[in-house]
Amino acid sequence: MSVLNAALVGNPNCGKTALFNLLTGSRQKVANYAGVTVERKVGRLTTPGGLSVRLLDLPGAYSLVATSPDEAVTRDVCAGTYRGEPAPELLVCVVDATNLRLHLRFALEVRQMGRPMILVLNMIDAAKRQGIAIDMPRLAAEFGAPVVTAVGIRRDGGRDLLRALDLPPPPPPPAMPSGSDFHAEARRILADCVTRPSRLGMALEERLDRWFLHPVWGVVILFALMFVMFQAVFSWAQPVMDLLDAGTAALGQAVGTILPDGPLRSLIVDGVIAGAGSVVVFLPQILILFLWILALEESGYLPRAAFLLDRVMATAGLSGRSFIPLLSSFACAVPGIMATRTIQNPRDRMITILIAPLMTCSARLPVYTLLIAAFVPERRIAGLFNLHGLVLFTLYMAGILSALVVARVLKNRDRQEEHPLLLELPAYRLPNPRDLALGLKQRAVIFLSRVGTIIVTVSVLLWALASFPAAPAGAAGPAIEWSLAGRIGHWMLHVMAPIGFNWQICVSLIPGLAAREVAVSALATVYSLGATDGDAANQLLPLLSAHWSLGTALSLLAWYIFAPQCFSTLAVIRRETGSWRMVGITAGYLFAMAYGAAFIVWRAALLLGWGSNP
Amino acid sequence: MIETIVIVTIITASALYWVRRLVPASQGIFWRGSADMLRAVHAPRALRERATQRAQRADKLPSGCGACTKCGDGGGCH
Repeated sequence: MSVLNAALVGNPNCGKTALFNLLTGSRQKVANYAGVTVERKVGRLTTPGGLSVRLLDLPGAYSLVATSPDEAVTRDVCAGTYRGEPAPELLVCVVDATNLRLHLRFALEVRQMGRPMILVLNMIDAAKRQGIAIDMPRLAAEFGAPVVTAVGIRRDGGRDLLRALDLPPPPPPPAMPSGSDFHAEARRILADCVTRPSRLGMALEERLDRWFLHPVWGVVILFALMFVMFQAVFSWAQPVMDLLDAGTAALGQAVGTILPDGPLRSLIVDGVIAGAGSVVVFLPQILILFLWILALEESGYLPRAAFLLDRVMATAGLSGRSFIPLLSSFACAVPGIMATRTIQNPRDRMITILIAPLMTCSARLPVYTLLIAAFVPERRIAGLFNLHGLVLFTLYMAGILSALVVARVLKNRDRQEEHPLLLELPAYRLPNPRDLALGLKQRAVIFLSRVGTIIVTVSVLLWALASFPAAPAGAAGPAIEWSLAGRIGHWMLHVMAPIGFNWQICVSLIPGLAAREVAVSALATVYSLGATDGDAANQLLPLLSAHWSLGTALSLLAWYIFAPQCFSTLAVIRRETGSWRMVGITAGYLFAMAYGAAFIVWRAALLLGWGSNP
Repeated sequence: MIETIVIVTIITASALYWVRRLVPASQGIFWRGSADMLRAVHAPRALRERATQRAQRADKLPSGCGACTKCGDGGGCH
């Protein structure tokens, strides 16, 4: 059976990925801002007529004269010069029906390539609501290609496009003479085919922008949103976290009573349940954090925040264009680093890649919240703010400020002319509860699959390292001190003792290379194995409160602001930059900053008398 | 004895999981070794061919660091 090779192209944020997900059943990330898709995605679909289609979702582009790596992918695929990718037989050019003036220009540029194409007017429902009337037959005649409508976020929103795919591919549209003005041609077509209402419909958006983009109130609103977000992370999640904690403890006890005393029971209870259970309890906090991020992404607020922070970014030598990749890094540095492909200036892109790991990724959240819960008293400030949330907010801000300082230092070494920020502000949109629920489900699945794979396997391996070789007969102290992990931890103390770390923390840092939150499960396993009967064996929080000084906890928090250890981040830096040197620079400067910050914090804690155990 | 076998199996499976993650190409060595061993013990042809096919497929895998996939799935990396 023949397969049609088609590609979705269009301006950024015109809804290509939403349409791609709708047609192929994929679950690629969508959001209400430009630059979410930075590489090509492949999906398959079968039309109602039985035609098999291999569909490519390409990064959005403003022009085929590419100015950034993601636009270069689109240009090369459309031109048939992308390595390993055959030239598409059909270009499905998606345009935002509410913003035809901008999007039709790019469609005309695509038309010049002389490939068969279909023009898809996406978000046609929003266009109708705004009173935009489009004369479809006339538009098809003027444009020289079939025109269909679509609503990428509605279940039956791709029906017309599927029908069009079933028809024989249209002939290549006529090209304009070289040197033609695409803007003028777009304006001419719009004047002939589109009727727009008066600007009354835009009034609400403009009123909102007057507040959100205000140089003072806009910043106040942004900080208030972030502050409330971190308060919510602590306040809303606590009841569910307590339930999960109790459930994990009960499971450990139940398994402990079923299995006879021996190494297998130790492996399951001290290794798997203590390790994985200590991380699972943070699921509610992570979901609340993502609920905020997803809602902000859907609402169209994020590009406005980028615009607002352009001046702040400029003090660090970057443009607001770096804001979205850095914001994506709050979820995970890996997609954040990939999102830097939208940055046109190569130097700015490199610096953004270098500082992206300083944004507090969600994997650091379990470490932060564990230490905050163990060492910061539960108190309300002014009867309003939760002290835990305030400390968490401060830690996130510390990461952001460090990133800006590093960017400034790096940028000073190579001053280049500043690039003005040109950013498309999308329409405000109320977040769709279904999309939010789907996004949260996806995050929960990702988190739990990490627990079920990375954390469980690391816990098992750490249990083995912490249990063997066994202590010699008549040895004093816990057996774990004689194990391989214990010896490695004590050996690492030579380097880490000056920053207040104990050998258990040293051991937990090694598996933390796999993923930062693994440090929590590793601590749980190490303390669980070393626990005496008098300790609350499976409860990490009271154990830490009892065995660590405040200075040690603060030092570890300072270390984790920079947290150099994450294999995946370093691997993606290698892939995006193609340079091991950049990997070395990133790991080196992050380690130096982490060590330096932890050293300063530990020394200050010693001076204040916070260096001794309670 | 059974307890020891269970523990060794769990630890080996965890270790193999990490070897496969960190060095995907190492699967080629495993499957080639398996194919050689199956040939040596005159195992059924279907089994031998299956192991050889797996080895050939694994040889085409990227060789580890920097070769990770699925990074773009909404942060669904690693």
